[in-house]
Amino acid sequence: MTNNKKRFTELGLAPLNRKAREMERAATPEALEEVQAMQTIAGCTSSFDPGWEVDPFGGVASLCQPMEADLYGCADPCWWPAQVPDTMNTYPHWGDGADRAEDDWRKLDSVYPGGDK
Amino acid sequence: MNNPAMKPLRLTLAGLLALAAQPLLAGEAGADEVREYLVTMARPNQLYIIDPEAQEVVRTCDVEGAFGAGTLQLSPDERTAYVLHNRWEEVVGIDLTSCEEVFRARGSGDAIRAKSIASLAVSPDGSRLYSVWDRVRLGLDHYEVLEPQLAVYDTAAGLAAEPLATFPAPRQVTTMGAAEDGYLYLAGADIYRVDPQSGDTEIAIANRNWDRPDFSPPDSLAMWTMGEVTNEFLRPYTVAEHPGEEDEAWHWGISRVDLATGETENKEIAPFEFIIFSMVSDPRERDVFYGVYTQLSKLDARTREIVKVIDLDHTYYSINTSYDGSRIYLGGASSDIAIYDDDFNDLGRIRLPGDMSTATLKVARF
Repeated sequence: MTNNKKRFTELGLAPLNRKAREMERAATPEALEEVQAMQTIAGCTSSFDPGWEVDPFGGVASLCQPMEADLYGCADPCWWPAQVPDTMNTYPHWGDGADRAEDDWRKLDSVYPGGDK
Repeated sequence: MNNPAMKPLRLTLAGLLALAAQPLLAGEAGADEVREYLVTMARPNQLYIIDPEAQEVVRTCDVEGAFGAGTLQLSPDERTAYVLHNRWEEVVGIDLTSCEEVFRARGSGDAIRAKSIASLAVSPDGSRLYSVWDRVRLGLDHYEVLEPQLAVYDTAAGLAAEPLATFPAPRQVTTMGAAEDGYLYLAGADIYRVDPQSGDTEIAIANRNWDRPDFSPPDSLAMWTMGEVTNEFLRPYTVAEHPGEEDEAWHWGISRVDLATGETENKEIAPFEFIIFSMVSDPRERDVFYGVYTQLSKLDARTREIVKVIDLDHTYYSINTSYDGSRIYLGGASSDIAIYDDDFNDLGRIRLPGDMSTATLKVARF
């Protein structure tokens, strides 16, 4: 279950662009040990959690059930910074008028540069 | 219907019906009996006081400002709730018996944006409120990350409270607890013990910096501060024993501070087989723990076994128990609070008009 000492390629991850290739070169196994995930649980520049993928057991049973239940719980602390707008800072009004995601998720729109802030 | 005599009668009936529809808090009814209430926040900006026996909302307080994070701490008499509010930038004190706003402090100001990541605590005598603010100076073309700050407030300072004192705080601090020994306990990379008089900080429970060669570093999520029922400050963690070896084994563990004595402990309590977002101990047996996320679970540290686990209809973040331990309350995440007995029989749901998101579910008695 622990793959900390393996290189990305050994895990089946292939870099697709220049930045990813630099990361592969830079990330020695020793440097990987320095990365401390979690214990930093919120904030758009501090979350390492990638979003809706797999749980720690390689399945989906320990993820949000259903997504709507966790939508604000994950959006409000910026846990999903790539998937939903940053309601902490840049798009604070994204969820206005949609107080219960279970019923109101259709009201939640994409955000656009220069839009409502 | 045109009989004028009917009008007063209809008004009287309407009045009686209105009274019946507004359950009274125990104090208002003049009863001496202390009753138990659930207290939580929900979007857009409401604080709810809920009777768990009747399973109904008995009071709704509008809290000026936007939701976020809904982190709650109670005063020692449990009649005032302090809520982290307005997109994680203000602390607001609300009198639960009247909805009156009695305290407000703002972390941000002077081009400094300050957010508290669920860091709130109240001193055991109720006179001080503590928060840790993560601060950024907003320049025209750049941001400057500042040192996190522990702020000490007088809870009697009113609606524009300024800190009595500030001290540098460790980074990555989330939940906090104030103990009867006068110390503050902060959950960060380790559990820190802070003297709020001097700001002196030391490691009370080593987590990231523990010296346990057979164990991986622990992984913790700490966003919900319950523990008012058992007077303890608790943070669960997951850890691998013998990581990378043939006999690698994963466990749930707890770091715990007894807020009555300041006694600390750190130990593994059960196998790691599912995710738990928050955990509380059973007030009748402190080595029995209840955890919640997509499942509700009961873990026994004495045997290091998972005693019982059930699937829930959706994720819940925040778990608590009644003071007698007979009922388990689940909140956070979506918009309903679930109640179970200690054998995990479903006792019902209380629906709220808005999502609780990251809010704490507190249990108050008054």
